[in-house]
Amino acid sequence: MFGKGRDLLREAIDADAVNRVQAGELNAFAELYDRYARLVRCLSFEGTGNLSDANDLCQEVFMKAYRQLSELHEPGRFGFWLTGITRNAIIDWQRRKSREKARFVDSVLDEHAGDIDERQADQSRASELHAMIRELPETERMALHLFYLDEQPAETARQILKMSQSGFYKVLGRARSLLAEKLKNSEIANDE
Amino acid sequence: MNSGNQRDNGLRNAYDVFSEDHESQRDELMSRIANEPNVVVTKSVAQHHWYKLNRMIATIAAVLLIMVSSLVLLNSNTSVAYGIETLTQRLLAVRSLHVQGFIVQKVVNSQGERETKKFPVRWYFERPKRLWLQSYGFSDQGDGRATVVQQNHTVIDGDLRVSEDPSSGNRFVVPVDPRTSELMVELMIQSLTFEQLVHGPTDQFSKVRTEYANGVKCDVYEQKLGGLSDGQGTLQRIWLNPRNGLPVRVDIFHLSSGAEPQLALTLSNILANEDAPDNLFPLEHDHALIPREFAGIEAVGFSSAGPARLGTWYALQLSSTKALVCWTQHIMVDDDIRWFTHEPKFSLAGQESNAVLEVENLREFSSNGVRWRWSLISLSGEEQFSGTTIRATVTYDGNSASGEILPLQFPEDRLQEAFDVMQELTLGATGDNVLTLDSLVK
Repeated sequence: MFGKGRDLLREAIDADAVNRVQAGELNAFAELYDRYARLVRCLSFEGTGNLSDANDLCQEVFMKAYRQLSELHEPGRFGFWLTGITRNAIIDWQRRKSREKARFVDSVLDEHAGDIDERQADQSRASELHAMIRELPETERMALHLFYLDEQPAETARQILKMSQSGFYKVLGRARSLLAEKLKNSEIANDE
Repeated sequence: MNSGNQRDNGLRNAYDVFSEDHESQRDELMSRIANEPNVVVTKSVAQHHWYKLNRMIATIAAVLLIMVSSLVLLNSNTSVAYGIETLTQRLLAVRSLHVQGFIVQKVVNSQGERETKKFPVRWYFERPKRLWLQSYGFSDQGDGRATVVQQNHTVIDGDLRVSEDPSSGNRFVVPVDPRTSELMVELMIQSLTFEQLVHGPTDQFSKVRTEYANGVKCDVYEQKLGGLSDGQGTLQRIWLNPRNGLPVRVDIFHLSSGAEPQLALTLSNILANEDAPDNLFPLEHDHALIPREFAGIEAVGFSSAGPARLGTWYALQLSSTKALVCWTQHIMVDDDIRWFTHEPKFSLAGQESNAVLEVENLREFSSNGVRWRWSLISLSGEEQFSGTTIRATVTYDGNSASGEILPLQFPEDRLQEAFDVMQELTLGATGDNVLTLDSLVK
């Protein structure tokens, strides 16, 4: 029951922030940004394939969310609502860029082309990992994103994915296993 | 990267890329927002108490919906003539209804001028679990600012539900428990029916004339609502096909003393018991499908007063004087939830009534981490449930949270089935905890 209490608390915190924005307190929107921007950036990265566009799309998503906030009738479901806006923003972006076929690995490397070698190596490794994560099923991907980006992943999973706490950790476990398998195969391929 | 820890560190590093410029980007966003028109939502005095129904239900309740009608005759060769008296029962038994029409609404345009506009609406429902609805909400911003018109599109088809806001392009498809779909569809149907087609008891209608509408010779009935003591009121007019007892057309007018009635809503193209038009179903749900697990029941409506929260699920009308209501209440104290600290008071909503409602708490259960109660509400005296909503109110430190619950009505042959579904979703299919319909109706 304690866990569920935290779930409801998270919902209440979001609702409180939304209500304060709707009442004219702009700083409350910064709280929502801090809570969800990393996730939106990550989802945008999946959709756009490069960090620069993901950052721009994230800003676009939050601008849309702000402009449409008066239409959000259940403030406690802000996270769920925001991921819906993100999905639609990605679709719009993909339509706009349908002729471009940029590979996200190259783009991420391009982003940091001027960095020192060590950082390039880190980015390259990160890009490889993200490439593998992108191959996972959507729910597993989302579970990983939440686990590494959100301070209260199970609570947010409940809000966004409508998943119980035990369901979330089950999916997370499956995601980790799938990813470990992919890493293992990758290392074998590199050794060969 | 051979160990789990190394792999975990690698993943954490991989995700760090989404935090790198977070603060500067937040500052940039906030400065952009500072130049935007603010999103202050104008709220009524009772805003703290406002009942946040499920988005779909709230839309229906808040919006003036209109339809115009043309009716397909079911049994045109029958000689049975129906009156208005049992219209509610006939609408509860209709298999499907397809209605199109428009709302007439005064809005403030972008030049700050007030003008009257028509907004087309359409809905199709098919029992037990299909619904397609287009509706509107209007929000007057005041100070000469343009009225915000919110268009909502809602679709339920068995085990999928779509919500779309065409003005923003937001569209979600979520899997739903088909049993919950049936309850949701029935609630929306009955909300629409009681709000738009038959408002209040049918004995308030009187037959005013007979005339043709959409090629059908109809009996025309009227009723006035709202007493006019303050000079305001509503006139509802129904063209009823006497052959099958279903409406052919419905108009609703605003009344104000000393002025001509103003058309607010007209309902036309009502097709009863027809299959769904092409292109309404099946649902498109490729990219927008949001996976979820069914973890239990979810509140249909909720409201709050300070730290006190009140939530409701569905209610079921068992007889003309008894209804089952499922509700939850808690307060937050620090991080701790305390359940059922403030019992709600139940009353009849939307009418001046001295009816006494007796409340008997029957069962308590947990679902999805929330504790719920089933309560039996009994009416005494001469009052009867007839599409009447029940208001639940919780008071906390001088503020109140309230919600309205429409007990679902079912024809006698579907009541037991509906009762069983509600029990199954909450208390389980078997066991000592399960309620029985017979014992409650007696």
